[in-house]
Amino acid sequence: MKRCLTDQSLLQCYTGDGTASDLIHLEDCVPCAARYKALEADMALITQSLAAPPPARRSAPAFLRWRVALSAAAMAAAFVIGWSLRGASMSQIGPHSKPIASAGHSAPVQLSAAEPTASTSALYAAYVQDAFGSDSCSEANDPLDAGCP
Amino acid sequence: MTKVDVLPLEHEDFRDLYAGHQVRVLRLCRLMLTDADEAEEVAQEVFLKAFRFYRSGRRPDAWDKWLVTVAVNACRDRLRSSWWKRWRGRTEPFDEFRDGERIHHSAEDAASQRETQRMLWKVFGRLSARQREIFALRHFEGWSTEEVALHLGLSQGSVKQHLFRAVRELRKGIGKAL
Ligand SMILES: [Zn+2]
Repeated sequence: MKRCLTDQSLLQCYTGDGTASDLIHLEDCVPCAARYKALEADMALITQSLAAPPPARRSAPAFLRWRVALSAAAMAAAFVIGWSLRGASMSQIGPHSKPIASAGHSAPVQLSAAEPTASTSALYAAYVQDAFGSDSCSEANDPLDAGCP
Repeated sequence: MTKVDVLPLEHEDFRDLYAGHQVRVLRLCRLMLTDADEAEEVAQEVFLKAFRFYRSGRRPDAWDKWLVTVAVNACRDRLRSSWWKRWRGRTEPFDEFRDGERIHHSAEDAASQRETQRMLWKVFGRLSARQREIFALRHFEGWSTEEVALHLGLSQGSVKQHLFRAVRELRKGIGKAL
């Protein structure tokens, strides 16, 4: 009997790429048949596991966290500066007082609320609705859009 | 192109096309990107492209192959974008599973299943993009080694080698999870 199958040959038998001699060996060799069964079981587990959606990632991206933190800091700073200048302008009377507007460089940054994630079907419905809702061709420059007038 | 190919389109046909392929395309994107949210976005892009193509009156030889090819290219583009790489680099895969799509027989089973899935996704995410692509096309899309090789411009031997390495790593992952 020919030497036992390598793991790669065994996988090729599983994927349908095995040679005739490998397949014959697999039929006759008990250890290789057992290894093949184990491979089958593992492949079933692997494909089943990977067919499920991947788990959520651990945390928000660092740069997003920084962006939120910086936005919050900018808002706080703008508020504090605005508040203190407002107080100063009310107490200061005279031609040399600085205009309040000069403090307006750090405009308050608006934090957008987290938008709910729309489901795939809802998004699909939205874009189909959008596409069929108007007769105009919005993607006039789209090379794929040969159907547009 | 024949006149039949440019007949006015029925919207229902596109809905059927979407319903018939959405799950597969989304799964393929998940496998290539190993990120559920990114995959949803890219899958949407794919169907938007399909819709434009459909509306233009053109037809591929086979929609499933067309969709897979467009999805693979869209995922590759996403993977290539530096933004995505930066984003990926700053997140730790993986923490929690989303609910749904799993049947738990007991709390212990569920925990064990989650751990196996988590480990396998982790290992899968560490494979090269090419290995993931080959694995997805071969084991989820049912493409033959010859078709994958042709699609990627590789030799069949190279495809087999990539596939073997991917499977070897994943099996090691099972060993760690169990
Ligand atoms: Zn043997």
